[in-house]
Amino acid sequence: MKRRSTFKLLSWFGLGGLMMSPPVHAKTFLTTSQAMSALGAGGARKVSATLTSEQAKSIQSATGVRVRNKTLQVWKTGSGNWFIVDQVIGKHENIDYAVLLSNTGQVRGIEVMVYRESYGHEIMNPRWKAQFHGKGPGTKLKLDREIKNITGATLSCRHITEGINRLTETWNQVLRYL
Amino acid sequence: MKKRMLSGALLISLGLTSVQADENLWIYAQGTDTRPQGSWELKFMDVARLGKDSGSYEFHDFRPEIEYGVTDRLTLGVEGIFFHHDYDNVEWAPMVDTQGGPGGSFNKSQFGGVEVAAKYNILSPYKDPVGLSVGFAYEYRDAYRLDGAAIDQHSLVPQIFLQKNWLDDTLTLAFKGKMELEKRKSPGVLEEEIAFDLAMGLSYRIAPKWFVGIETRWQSDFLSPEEDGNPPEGRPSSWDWGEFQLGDQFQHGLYVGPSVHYAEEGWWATLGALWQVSGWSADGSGAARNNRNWDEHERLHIGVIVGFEFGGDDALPMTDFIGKDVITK
Repeated sequence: MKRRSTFKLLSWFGLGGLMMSPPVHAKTFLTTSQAMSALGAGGARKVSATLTSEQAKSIQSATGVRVRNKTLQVWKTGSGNWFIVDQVIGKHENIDYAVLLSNTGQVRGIEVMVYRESYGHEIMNPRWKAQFHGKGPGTKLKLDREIKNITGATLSCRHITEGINRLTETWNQVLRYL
Repeated sequence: MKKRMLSGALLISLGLTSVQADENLWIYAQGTDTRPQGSWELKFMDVARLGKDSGSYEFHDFRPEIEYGVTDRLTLGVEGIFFHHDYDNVEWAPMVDTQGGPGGSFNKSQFGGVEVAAKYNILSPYKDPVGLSVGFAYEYRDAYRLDGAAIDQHSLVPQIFLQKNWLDDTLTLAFKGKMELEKRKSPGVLEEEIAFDLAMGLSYRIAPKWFVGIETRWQSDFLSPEEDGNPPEGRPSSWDWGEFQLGDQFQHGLYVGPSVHYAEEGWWATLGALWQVSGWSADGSGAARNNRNWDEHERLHIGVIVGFEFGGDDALPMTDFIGKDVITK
């Protein structure tokens, strides 16, 4: 086996690839405070909330969605609405997004804060996000049923949809009592 | 001469890694994804096939490729094929002839051919019970994969892709099956071949951007060489229109090995290694030794693939989406 020759060829190959690498840049569209303002939750106060194992299990059972992080990033407005910062899995990295839930648990708005994938940015389309408005814990949303899919961004669409199901159920089981 | 043609001609399919759509989590296995509409990908792939059980053998199958998403479901691709052979003292045909007999050597870099392919997605692994895509490729080659000798080969390659995801799409199982229908000419020999190249991979996203996996690949040839007008021994293979016969199996080899994949926004890279764990040959010359095949398969394959993404939705301003019906059912 000609290891030296192989190493040389692969080295040139790798070097060429690195030279072509585009600059790395995650796309931060909104900071937490900007998302809060965009969703009309300015002035909300941070609430410390962590799910117990039983609560996480119960939310997972009700929605069919895994609870990957028991620590909640939540803020409560003066009118009883909840501003939530959450993460779902993208194809390669996590998608950071914010949701505003009304004091009855209905979705009042969604904003994508950080999107790090090469494709699938269509989930930021206002018309797509508007499909969630008014949906609450009583409805288990499903892609291609209550929520229309965007071809080419299916994974992101499904994970955001499942994330909303998880958050509205979290309001139903936990936040409404805080 | 016949032995050389038998061995070398069949080997062509071993080196086939057809034009691929979307990023590769493994070297041979591939999922059902197609490219987003309007997006491009430039991909560079080098698979080094190393080691026989005699002499010294190194072969690089280098393929620059460009892919385009015609629609979100249909991807077209074109790739060039370049070979680099460096071997000596190999006792197996066809290398032993091309290197100039026992103890000889061969070292050459050359253009090997071109391939065009299409991949169409039918079911998505992200919302259907299982993902399904089909593909079709045409390939022309004018050099043997195994020994670098001149040939004239045309291949049609129907393909099927299956994919199943679990754990929020962090665990992926994918299968790629190819049937290669080949007609090959070399001086005094006309060959018809049906080959199967099946690969399956399992990959897990251990952290954002990082995927580790394992893959296995099985490749086998069913051959029908006609030398100077003399029909082949045994049951011939044929895939002419209206007539399909698999014929007698000539060889097979099975590989297994790990892979690692890293993805950034705009580019990705995959590294994998596969060892031959079993092999077989119908050739009575002893090409299958120690439960491995040594004339058409190698001890180790090391693959490196790097892809660069361009265009697609990333190039469009957000205002383009407003008022445009991009939502499809």
